[in-house]
Amino acid sequence: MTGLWGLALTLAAGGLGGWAAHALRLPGGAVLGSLIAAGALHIALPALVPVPDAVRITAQILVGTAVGTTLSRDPLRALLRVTASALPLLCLLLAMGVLGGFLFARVSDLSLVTTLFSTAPGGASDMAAAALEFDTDVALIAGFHMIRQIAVFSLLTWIFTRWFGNSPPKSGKG
Amino acid sequence: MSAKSDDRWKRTLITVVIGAIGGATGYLSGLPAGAMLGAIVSVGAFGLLTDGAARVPRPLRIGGRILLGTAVGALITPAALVAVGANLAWALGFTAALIVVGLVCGLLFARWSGLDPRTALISFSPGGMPEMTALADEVGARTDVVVGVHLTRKILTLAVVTGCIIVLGLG
Repeated sequence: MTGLWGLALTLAAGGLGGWAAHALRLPGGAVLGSLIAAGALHIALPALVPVPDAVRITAQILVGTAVGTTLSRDPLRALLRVTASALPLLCLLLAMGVLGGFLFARVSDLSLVTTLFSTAPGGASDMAAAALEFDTDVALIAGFHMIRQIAVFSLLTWIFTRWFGNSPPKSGKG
Repeated sequence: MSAKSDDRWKRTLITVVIGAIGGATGYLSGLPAGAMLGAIVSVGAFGLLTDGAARVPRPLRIGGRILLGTAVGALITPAALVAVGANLAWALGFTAALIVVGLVCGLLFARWSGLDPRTALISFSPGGMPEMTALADEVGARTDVVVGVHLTRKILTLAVVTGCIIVLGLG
């Protein structure tokens, strides 16, 4: 079962898993659920082959198109007003990710490309989509980002809703 | 079908066609992550030029993520699972460090920009953009600033990581 039936089965499993996790409102649920379901299927049925390049490229283009639609003038205008303070801090966060990648490559037997993608502070779907182009352990990269996103979301939602509650902000300069 | 609904369909179709052309061009150019970067740049330019006319409906957005998760999931092998387990301590430790640095950056951002602490802290929380935006909305933070900072982080990260790979000849 390695041809069209295998592909159909993989897409059905991924679709069901992604939809279920999304419906349960898990952080990054669509990617997480489909990844786990398709992964479980491929481990249970080792005769299945990875999805064709056309599917992979279509997924990358769809994710890229969705990211592109978030670019509009309002968030950029808001950002422009605070660029001087935001940019150095973003560079610091990014530098930490890159340094973490180099360090991780030194202490593990993973390739530098895999570790750079794993520790980069980007979106889980963007990093996994970009990593598909390289000779990397994409499943591991996606796993790392899922762990980060779930940990950050759970912890920070708990902290922020307790710190700030639902009261309006005190100041809104920017 | 109403005129408003017609307009939404037209905008979606135009956005998808522009994304497909940009993605195909990026892929054929041979650039690392070219398909995705091409789609981001072309649709982003369209969105900026038209002030937000670019549109992908939620089901298609979710469908793209599901397709991506499926493509990645189909690459999972028992060896990959062992590698995740073997490096779990590192993943958790690094995530903890990133959260701390994110919080420090958020506090500094509040001080330097004069923004309220909730907007500044959520802007620099290293979580997913949709989840952080929803959280900002829930606690009354400024979502326009949160989206702007997270979007810049995502695009900068993609550019820097692929740039590092090209410069180091690892691609």
